[in-house]
Amino acid sequence: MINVGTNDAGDGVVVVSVAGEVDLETAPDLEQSITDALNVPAARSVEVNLAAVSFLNSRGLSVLVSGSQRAEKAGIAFTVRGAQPAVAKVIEITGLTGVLCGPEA
Amino acid sequence: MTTSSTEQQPADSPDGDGPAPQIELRIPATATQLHVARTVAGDLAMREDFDLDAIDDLRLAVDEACAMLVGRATDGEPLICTFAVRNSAITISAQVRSETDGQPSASGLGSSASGLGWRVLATLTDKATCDVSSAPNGGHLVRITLTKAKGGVIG
Repeated sequence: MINVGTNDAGDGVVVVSVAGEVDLETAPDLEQSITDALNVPAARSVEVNLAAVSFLNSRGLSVLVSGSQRAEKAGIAFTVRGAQPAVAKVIEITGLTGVLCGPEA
Repeated sequence: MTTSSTEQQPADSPDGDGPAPQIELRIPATATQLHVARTVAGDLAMREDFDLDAIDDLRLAVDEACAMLVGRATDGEPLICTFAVRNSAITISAQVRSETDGQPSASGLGSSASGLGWRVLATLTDKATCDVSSAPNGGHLVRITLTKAKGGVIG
């Protein structure tokens, strides 16, 4: 089960809020929402909020990485925020912290 | 309709010399059923008094193993997981019948996505192996076996 929503916060910042478990079944929903966010006219920054995500597997990671790459090509900033410890651990052990969470993480 | 079944086999004492208690889980090899395998793994780890981090690790490792296998399962064939507890270590074996004999690991013929999955599951467990054998009625049996011990040491 997953709930995903995008919200244009104004100023060109689009927030993708995700809640639930991101796995093989639900990763496509996340992918679609990221695509929608990147397609928002005048989007200059996409933030994926994972605060309510309790589980994320490598498929979910791939979706985030792909989103990050597509954003870069489009000249849009892409950041992942709010990962719970279990999710942050997956991002860390795959060496993707710098790619997804920015230099400050 | 989907079906799933669990079967707890009789066993001797968990930490004795007898056969390890074994649970067999047979579920459709589809993405929608993987949460069942995660749940069983998490529940077993909780009952074995694994700490919360280790429970999360095991749930994720099982998910990665099953996700890789679902991607190569022959249509209509089940995903079969066995869970065994011995000396405070949990060993989980997941198996599907497949038309291909490629090993779903970083060094095998898997896609880059499966390479990432293998990296995750190998990092989170104490031991992870994959083997491919010929299936009795044609095709191949692809099996991933992983072990995680309480406290990170296989006793």
